[in-house]
Amino acid sequence: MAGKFIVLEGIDGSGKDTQFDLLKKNLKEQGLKAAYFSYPDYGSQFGRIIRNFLASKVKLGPDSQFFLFLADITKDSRNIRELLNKNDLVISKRYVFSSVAYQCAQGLPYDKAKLIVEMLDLPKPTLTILLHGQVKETLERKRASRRGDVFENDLRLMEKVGGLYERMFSNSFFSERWKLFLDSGTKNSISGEILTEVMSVV
Amino acid sequence: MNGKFIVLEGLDGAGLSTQVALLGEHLNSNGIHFLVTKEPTNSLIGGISKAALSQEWRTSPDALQLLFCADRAHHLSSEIEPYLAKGKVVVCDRYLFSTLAYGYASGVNYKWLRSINLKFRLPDLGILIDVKPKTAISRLGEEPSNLHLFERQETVSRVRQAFLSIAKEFHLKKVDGEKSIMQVSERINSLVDKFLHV
Repeated sequence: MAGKFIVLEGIDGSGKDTQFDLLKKNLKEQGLKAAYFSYPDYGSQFGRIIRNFLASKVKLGPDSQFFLFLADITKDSRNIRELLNKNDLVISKRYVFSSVAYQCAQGLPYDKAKLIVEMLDLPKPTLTILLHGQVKETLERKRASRRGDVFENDLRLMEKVGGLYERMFSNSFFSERWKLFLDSGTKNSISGEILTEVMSVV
Repeated sequence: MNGKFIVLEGLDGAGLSTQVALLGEHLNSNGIHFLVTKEPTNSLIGGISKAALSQEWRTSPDALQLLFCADRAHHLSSEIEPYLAKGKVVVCDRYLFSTLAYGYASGVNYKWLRSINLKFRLPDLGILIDVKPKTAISRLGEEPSNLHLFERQETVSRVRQAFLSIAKEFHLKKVDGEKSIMQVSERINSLVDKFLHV
């Protein structure tokens, strides 16, 4: 597997979408060949249920959410590996870390969640980038742009999610390296730093 | 009486749904409060699992197994556990043993299957209705060509062997499903009566 697998993580509103799009543009300018994934995959059967859940149209406990989100990722496992053989990079916006963070924040035992992820034989990222900031400010920025989903509307939950991301970062969980980017700088300065970081692993 | 979780398992064509219904009638006649349920469930997640099983859409075997787990988790928290907490009997038509048997026979690693499913509550009583592959296939009303029949029998035989091995591992009670419907039902009723101290 010649290609490097990079994951972009963070709570809702941390700037993932913006940075994902900027990274795409930057990598193209660098002449690098990359494939892109984004989770949840709303185009899939799994994603459709997840969307209904996020829109509070269906209620699911943390256990069911966890397996559902992981199923959504697992379906692409083989494809990701094949793309890593054909590309310089595979970049994913959200990955298993989102499942661990969001579902453990709702009470799923962290050690159990980690064990299940490790058992799944999924591609392990070379680099996981965590976009991290003050939860309250991040959510306010998010709410200003659109109505929140079932997670975004719960500040206490999001603080727990943030804490779990920090925990995974300090454990270097399921990734060769984690890199934390604090929410202090313009979107362009952050994208510049992210590009530097990604180029260092290529 | 605390709630009791009873599960019926077996091949497609072993007569599970019939026997679950008959068991329900028997429990009713003994004045026992119960819930009859099944997996995959009728929830949204169960619905797409069933669609994947009938090949209406395809996904990787591992992802499908995780989908079953999502359905199971939801089933337990929304239906089974609440009923058991009220002291009722829950009779479930297929549970994690089906997932293990069919999943394994379809080529998914058994150790992996087992570990993702063992976080779920095990039943208090598990019953395997065992039938020969030929019986199961003929009861489903299939009349395939010779080659197809051979392949079908091979597949079904693999699943049957998996069920038998799982029954040993998890101490499921084995019932001979080759007998008549009423004979099988009587055997199941007596197992359940003994278990519930009726």
